[in-house]
Amino acid sequence: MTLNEILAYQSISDEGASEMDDQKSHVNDLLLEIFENILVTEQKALRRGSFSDLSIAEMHTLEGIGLYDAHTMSETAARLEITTGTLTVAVDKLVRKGYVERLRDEADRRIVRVKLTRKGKLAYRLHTKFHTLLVERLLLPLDETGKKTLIRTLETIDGFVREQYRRYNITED
Amino acid sequence: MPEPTRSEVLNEISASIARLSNLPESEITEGQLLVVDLKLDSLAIYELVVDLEERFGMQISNEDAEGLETVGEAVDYVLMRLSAAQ
Repeated sequence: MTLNEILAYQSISDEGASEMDDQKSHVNDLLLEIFENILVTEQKALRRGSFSDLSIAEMHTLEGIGLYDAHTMSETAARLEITTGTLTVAVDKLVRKGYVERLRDEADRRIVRVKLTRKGKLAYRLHTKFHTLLVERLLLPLDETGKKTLIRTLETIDGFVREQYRRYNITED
Repeated sequence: MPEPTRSEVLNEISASIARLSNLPESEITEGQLLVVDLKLDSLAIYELVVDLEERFGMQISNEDAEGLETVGEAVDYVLMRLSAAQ
């Protein structure tokens, strides 16, 4: 290989590396923007609606409690992947705001269950509708192949992020 | 408990819609569109759904709720679900 050939090869490699860097930077920006914008849009939609006293974190606690179930505090905390202490604080606030009620277990009065009130159920349903609309709008311009590609890509991202989450969780424990 | 008749289900739904829309119950008919004629927004539709769940002891998904266009369709839906549960 002559010097000129090496220089030419180097120049192509640099160009490729630069393109790769641009791609990485673009993917990074997109991921951060999507993550941030979904959270902000969710929060704004809540603020404008009939349940403006709910934060997104509280809305996700309602989702963790579930529309019909009456799980125990420890079951609900496990579903939300938070401690029972954190859940107790969140539930106290949601009870005060009228979205959640505490029930004593019929068979064992020592066990406390949490359940959505009527107001909680309505907030849950409206929030679910928000997510449904978001996904419908996202899928609307895509044909079947596009939808399958999107799902595959999202599954890959989800798998990767979950793996990182598990790794850091283990490290912290 | 005996299964409610069509007219009993219609009365329950009309009472719920009357409360949500501030219309007299007598003005609510089976052919009316929930959103266009009765001006029920998403929240009001879900209020109706929770009323039906509590009154008839059933679980109704958002997808099913959004598929109901008229008062008559809501009546048919409740009757179909009650019949399927028998």
